[in-house]
Amino acid sequence: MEFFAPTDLQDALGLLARCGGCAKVVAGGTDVMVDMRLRQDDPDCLIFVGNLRELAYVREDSDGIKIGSLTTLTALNESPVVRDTCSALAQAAGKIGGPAIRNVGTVGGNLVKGSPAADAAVALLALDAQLKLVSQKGERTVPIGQFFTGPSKTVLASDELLTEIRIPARAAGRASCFVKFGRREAVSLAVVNTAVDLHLDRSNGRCQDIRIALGSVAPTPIRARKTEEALRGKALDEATVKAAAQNVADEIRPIDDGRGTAWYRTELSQVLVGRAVMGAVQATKQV
Amino acid sequence: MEQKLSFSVNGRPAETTVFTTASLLDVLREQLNITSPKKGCDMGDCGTCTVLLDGAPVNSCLILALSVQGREVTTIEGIGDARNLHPLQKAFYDWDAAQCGYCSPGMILTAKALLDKNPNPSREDVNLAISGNLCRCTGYVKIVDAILDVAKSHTSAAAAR
Repeated sequence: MEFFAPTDLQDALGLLARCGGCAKVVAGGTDVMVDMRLRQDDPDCLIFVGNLRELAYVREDSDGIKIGSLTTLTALNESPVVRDTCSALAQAAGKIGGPAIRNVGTVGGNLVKGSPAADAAVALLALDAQLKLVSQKGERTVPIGQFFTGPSKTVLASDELLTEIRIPARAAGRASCFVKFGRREAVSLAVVNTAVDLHLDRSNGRCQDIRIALGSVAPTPIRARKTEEALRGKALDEATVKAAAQNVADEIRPIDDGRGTAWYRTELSQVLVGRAVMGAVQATKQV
Repeated sequence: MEQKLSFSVNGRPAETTVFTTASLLDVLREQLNITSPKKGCDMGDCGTCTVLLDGAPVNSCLILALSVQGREVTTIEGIGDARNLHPLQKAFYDWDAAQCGYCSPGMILTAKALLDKNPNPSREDVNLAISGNLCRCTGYVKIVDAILDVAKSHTSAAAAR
C-alpha cells in the first residue's frame, strides 16, 4: 500500500486521478479508521489530506459563508461567524461524536461518509448549502439536496475532493436551530435529528419562509416539504407548529434499527421538528 | 506497507517504522511501550485511548499514526509521575476519583486540556469536556469534583499573586 501526505491541493487531485477508485482518502480519520478496521480494507493508496491547510477556513463575504471542507468540527462549533449567522450548523457540529472526535473530525468527512444520520448534513440541508467538488478535470457545485443518493452513497466521484461548503447570504430575520436526540448526550448517533431554518417577517411575526431537514428517518437526509408548506405564511405559535408537525409522519420513511424503531422515530420526529421550529423562532429574537 | 515516522512524545523524539494504516494507539502501546493509553473499544466510543495531540485531546485509536509526523503527543507519563504528581493526579487521589484506574489517564489528560483552555470552567463545562470519556466505576461525580477543585486552587493561587 502506498502512502501519500500531500500539502498542496493540486498534488492531492493528481494523486486521486492516478489512484482513482483504489485510493482511500483520510482526513480526521474518525470514520475511515473504524471502517477500514471493520472491513479490513486494503486500498492500493492511502492519501492523508490533513496537511491541506488551505482547505481549513471559515469566511464570510457578500455571497454568504464559505467553509473549507477540512475545518474541524471543534473549529466550526466555536466559530463566531457560524454561531452568529447559521447557528444550526454550529449546534450540529457540537453534537457530532465527543470533544476528542471533534478536535480532528472534519465537516467534509461528516458529509462524504454519506450517512443519513450525519448531523452536519442535516443542518446544511436546512441552510440550503452548496458543495464544491473538485477534480483534476475541473470543478462543479452541487446543491446539498442532490449530494446524497442513499445510505453511505454520494455523488462524489472517485477522483474528486469536496473542498468547500457554501451557505447563501442570510437576510435579517433569518435564524436556524438544530435538535438531536441520541441514546446518550454525547458520542451517540442520532435516533432522529432535525434542523430548521426560517425567515420571520418582523412586521407581522409570520413565517415568510421555512426549511425543515430531518436525518435518520430515510435513506438520506430529507426535507419535510409538506410540513414546510403547512407553516409558510402562518404565525408560529406552539399550537400551530404542533398541528403542522403532524405532517412529518407522512414525509419520513424510518426503519427499525439498533438505535430505535420506526414507530418511535415517527413519534419523535414530530416532537423534535416542533422544538426546532420554536428554537429557530426564539433565535430570530436574538439576531 | 511500512513507513518511517518521527514525532515527539512527552517532549522526547520518537522514531519508528509503522504499518501504513496503524493507529497512534497501537504505535504507542506496541512499539514505544507507552501503555497508559488503553484499547477499550478501538472505535472512538470510550475515550480510554485519549492522548493530547499538540495539546488537544484526541482518540488515539482513530489517529492514523503517520499523520502525527513532526507533531507533539502527550500521554499521562508526560505530565507527572509518582514523585512529582501533576495537580490533577493528586486531586484524583484526594477525591477518590479513580477506582480501577482504566479511564484515568484519558480522563486526566482531557481535564488538563480543559483547564489549559478554560482555567475556570463551570460544572457543565467539565461535564461536556469529559463527555467522551466513559467511566464504569465512579459515577463521574468525584471526577468532576476533583477537576473543579484543581481549577479553584489554581484560580485562587493566581489571584493571590
